[in-house]
Amino acid sequence: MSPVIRLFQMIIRYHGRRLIVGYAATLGAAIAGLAIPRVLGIGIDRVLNPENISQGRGPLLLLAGTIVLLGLSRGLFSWAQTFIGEGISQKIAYRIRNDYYDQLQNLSFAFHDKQTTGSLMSRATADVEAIRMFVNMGAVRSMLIVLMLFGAAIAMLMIDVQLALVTLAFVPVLLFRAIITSRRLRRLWLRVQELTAEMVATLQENLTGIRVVKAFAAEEHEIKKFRLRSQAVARQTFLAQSTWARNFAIMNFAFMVVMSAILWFGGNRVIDGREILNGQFVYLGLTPGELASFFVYMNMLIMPVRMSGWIVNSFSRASSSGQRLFEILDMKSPVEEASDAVDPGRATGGVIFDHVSFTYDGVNEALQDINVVVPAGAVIALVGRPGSGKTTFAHLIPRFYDVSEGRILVDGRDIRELTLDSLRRSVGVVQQDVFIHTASIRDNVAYGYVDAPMSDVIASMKIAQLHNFIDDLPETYETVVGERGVGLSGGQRQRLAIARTILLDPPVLVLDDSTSSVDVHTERLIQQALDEIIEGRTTFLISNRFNAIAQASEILVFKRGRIVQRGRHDELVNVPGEYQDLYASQMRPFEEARSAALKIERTENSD
Amino acid sequence: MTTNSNRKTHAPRGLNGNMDEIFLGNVLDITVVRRLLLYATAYRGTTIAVALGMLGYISAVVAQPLIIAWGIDGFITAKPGDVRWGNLGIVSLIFFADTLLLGVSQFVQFRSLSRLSTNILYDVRDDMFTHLQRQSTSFFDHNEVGRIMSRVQNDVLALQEWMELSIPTAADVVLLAAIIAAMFVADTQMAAIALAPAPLMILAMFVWQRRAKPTFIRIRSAISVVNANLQEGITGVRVAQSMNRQPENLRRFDTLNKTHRDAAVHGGFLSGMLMPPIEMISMTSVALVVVFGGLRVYDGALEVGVLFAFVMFLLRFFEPIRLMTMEFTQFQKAMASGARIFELLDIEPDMHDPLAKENLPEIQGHIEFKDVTFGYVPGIPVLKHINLVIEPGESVAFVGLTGAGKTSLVALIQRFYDVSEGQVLIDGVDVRDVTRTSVASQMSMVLQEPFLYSESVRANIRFNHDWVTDEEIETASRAVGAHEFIERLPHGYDTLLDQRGANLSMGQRALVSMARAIVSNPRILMLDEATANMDSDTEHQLQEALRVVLKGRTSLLIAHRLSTITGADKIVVLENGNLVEIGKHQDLLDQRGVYARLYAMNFGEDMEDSA
Repeated sequence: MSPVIRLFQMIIRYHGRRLIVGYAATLGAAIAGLAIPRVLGIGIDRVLNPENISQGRGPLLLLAGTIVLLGLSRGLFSWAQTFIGEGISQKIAYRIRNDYYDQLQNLSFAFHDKQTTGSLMSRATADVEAIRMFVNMGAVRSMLIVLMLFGAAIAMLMIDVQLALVTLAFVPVLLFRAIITSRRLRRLWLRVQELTAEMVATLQENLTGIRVVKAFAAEEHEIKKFRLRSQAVARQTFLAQSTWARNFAIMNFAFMVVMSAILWFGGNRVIDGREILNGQFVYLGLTPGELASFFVYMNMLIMPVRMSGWIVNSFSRASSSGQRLFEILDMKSPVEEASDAVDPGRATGGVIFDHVSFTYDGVNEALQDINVVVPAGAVIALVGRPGSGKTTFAHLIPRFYDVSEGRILVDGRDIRELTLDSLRRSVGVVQQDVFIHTASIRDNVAYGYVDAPMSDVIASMKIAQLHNFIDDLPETYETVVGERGVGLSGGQRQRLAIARTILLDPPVLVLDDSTSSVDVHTERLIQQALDEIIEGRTTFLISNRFNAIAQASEILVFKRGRIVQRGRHDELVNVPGEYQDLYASQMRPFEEARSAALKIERTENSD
Repeated sequence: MTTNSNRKTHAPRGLNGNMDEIFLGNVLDITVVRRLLLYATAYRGTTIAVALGMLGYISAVVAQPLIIAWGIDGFITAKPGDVRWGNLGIVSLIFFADTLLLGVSQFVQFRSLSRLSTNILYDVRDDMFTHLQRQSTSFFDHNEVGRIMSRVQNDVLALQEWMELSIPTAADVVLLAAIIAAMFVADTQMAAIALAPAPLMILAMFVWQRRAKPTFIRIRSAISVVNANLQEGITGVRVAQSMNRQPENLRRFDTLNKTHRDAAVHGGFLSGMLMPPIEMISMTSVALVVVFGGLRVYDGALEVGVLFAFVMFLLRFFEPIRLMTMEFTQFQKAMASGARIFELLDIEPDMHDPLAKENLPEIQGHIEFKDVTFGYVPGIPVLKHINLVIEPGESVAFVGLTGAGKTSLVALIQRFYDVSEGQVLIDGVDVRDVTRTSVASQMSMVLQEPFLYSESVRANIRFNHDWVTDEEIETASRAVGAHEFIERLPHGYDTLLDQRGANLSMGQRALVSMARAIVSNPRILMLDEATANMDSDTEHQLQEALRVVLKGRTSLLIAHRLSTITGADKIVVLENGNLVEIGKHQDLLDQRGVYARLYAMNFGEDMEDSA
């Protein structure tokens, strides 16, 4: 369905009554506006006729009063129309923003992997704004344009058919021109936007990479590069603006040519139709007042004709913007809750992978025929090189993605039979790339459990070995962290993420700490935290740290989407294979460094 | 580059933080306007064209009702027997000529205006960019990229909108004056009567402006809060889903979204509020003209065409006034933007080249630190009394914990910053006595996170070394072992990279940045080793590349890996800004001091000195 029709349906469904009132107000404003030139014309004819002198100023005052009243009512109707149009448009924008936010929150990881924040944001800002403008201008105010054009045409035809036809002959041509031009202008301005985006990208690269620029003394090079982009923007802007200027001037000129035609043709019609009576002219054909009305009507038509191109533009903008938005709003998440999903309560934590295969792109299998049985409370270490499938494996358990083949069971139930809420309450995930919200530390810890009592928050921060650090901050738990707050180090962020998950007390835990390389002190803190939280939970651990892996009840060794080895550390380390290679290249150096450190510490203590 | 967040809190030369986007300035800020006019002086011809166009337009507009009045009074409603010069045909022709003048002058006005404004904005942008390039590194330590971006992007845009509006508005003001003058010339008494309600209109707008302004500011800040929240919702979506936080997030978003909606709806109410008084006041003016003019026509003291001309004038008169109120906020916004732009342009770079502009002659690569003390903030030194000599061709590794001063020390050699005390000498020349370009262009740097540009691979390797040939680019790529994978890219060396080189792997990016560093064959090479985990193949490849690029140059390494350090000619150990140990790997280990302890810790965490 066309996005524009869909928007109209939205307006009618949610604001149908308001829209009718808006149209009524528009009609009122149009009628009052169209009456004014006519009343002025009547006034002019009245003062031209000497017979009226005897009636004194009474009728003139009446006319004047009518003009003021018409002005006032046009103002009131316009006010109502503006208010209603703005109101509907803001309410529709509000609704779309909420739906969009909700949809983004619930679309699965597969969707977010492919999108950039920038393009999702530009939909929420530029596209929603285009739709808002369309609802206000295209759907509500366009009625005013239509009414004014037809109303003025009818009013002129009623006064003098011949003169009206001469005058109105120009209007379709001008309308056509206005629409064509605004299309052309839109393309020119889109190009300006593209060039501006390129310029901004160059600027952003320059600023984020300023160290490179400084290190290579490349300032002149960068200035040249930016200058090229900036010149392109200036040139295209000038092209767009001068095209606009030419059309604006031509449009005005065309209107004024019609005015001179009215003056010549209409003036002669008045002269031809008059007769002398008692030494005075009597106007039997077109009267001077009616001629004056024509002039004023022409003046009134300039605005709607010029706006018409704009309105047509707002339709096509709404159509492309609407398409971009509805495309996302209509998207079905690949991870959907079954209609008869159940909430079995707190899980014990047994996890089974039954012939599980998975692909991100439908072509390459990221996991192939995985079979694992994990009893409740076991600690499973997942090891492998980057891209071997260990993170994918972990992300399937809370259904961040759905398996392509096979099934995953938690406590003997296929996870697709559970409500997402209950599944994710059972499976806690500490991700490797920790996201900190711009909020207080307390709110960040209580992210998944908003009403958590402060004592629980503190308790989980103590387990995560972060409480002492927070307690030393001047504002302790109320300290604002995140992008616009105090920065935390990598180790601190990770421990905060651990605290955040512990607070939820999940029976199954997925810990991803593969990329964190931290110093010995921090590592010790994290290890202590891990030891405490692993207790009593089924744990999946992705780590390079030897001593974390060594305590696992089973190690799963991943290579190209398959589990190639499994067993305990001492069973695997002496067998040639993937595990031994990994151990030699990634874990042993750390291990050696650790023991060296311990040795030195011991010597120092004995000194 | 990660910056130490603590340091951001006391930015000595930062951009003014409280001058937020939503801040509004005066309607007319004389200093801002004067500085903009300075830019206009470069385009005298265009400025004159704008003025001439304006003049032509105004005369044409004022003449129109008068010509119509002439036609009506002279020929259409003239008393029988009242013979005047000319005929309706001539009047229509004159009207047509006036129309022509109107069209042409309007075109000239707008086109020249556009030329003037795009030129000025181009100059402003160019000045800003050039000025930014001239700032020292510490300026960028203290100012977030986002804020600087918004200066160059949003503030210049606000200025552009202002220019597009302000000159037609200035034309409108002159037009108003011209209409007033024309009315008074045509009929003084009528003019006085017709204009009597005008002050009421100005009063109404003034009161409205006062009342509406806070609402419009509120709308603007509300939408920026909504968008910030949305952005956080998108970037944090993975945590939200894993913790079932979506309903709570939506509830919070809805609250903010609703706040904006309600403010915006109220804004719509306020925008329309001005319409009834304006319409009523302008129609009162028309009505006054009809009554008083009409009575005078009866008396024969006024011709009906003049009466009609007055009506036409009045219909024209109130439109510009109304437009000006609508543009009020726009003006204030632009003035605040202008003030911010000039604030940026007025920040003096804190590092200058010597007046003599002497260049550093071609160097051998000898580096000496003579009792160097340095701090980012006065009184808090991060390097204390450093004395160090590095011979040409030597490879030196710098080690120490986070914050020990490694990165700062290397940064001083490139003159990213100036020393607080002491001297940094290259081949015996104090780096402050020669131009910074001549210093920096003789050395190269490989950063921890390789920063690549969204250009072709070739352009990335060549970078600012315009004289480097394609063959030399290939040689450099071969040397670091990047040639093979580059050839395999869809368009080889001409393959365009995504932003930050996202279409290459981490290791590939590192190799390209190494090729870039050696393509100009610098005498001194600085290298901040990457800490991120890489698979062992890449790791091996990088080590191999490193060996090649370091050969035959003075090389300085901020090292994180045992293998790189053990091979160095000299290891410099820093602790809290002091040079505590210096020597070869085995000697230092035997000393059982700071180095031995650090070595044992394996330099685990990013030891990056957050400068």
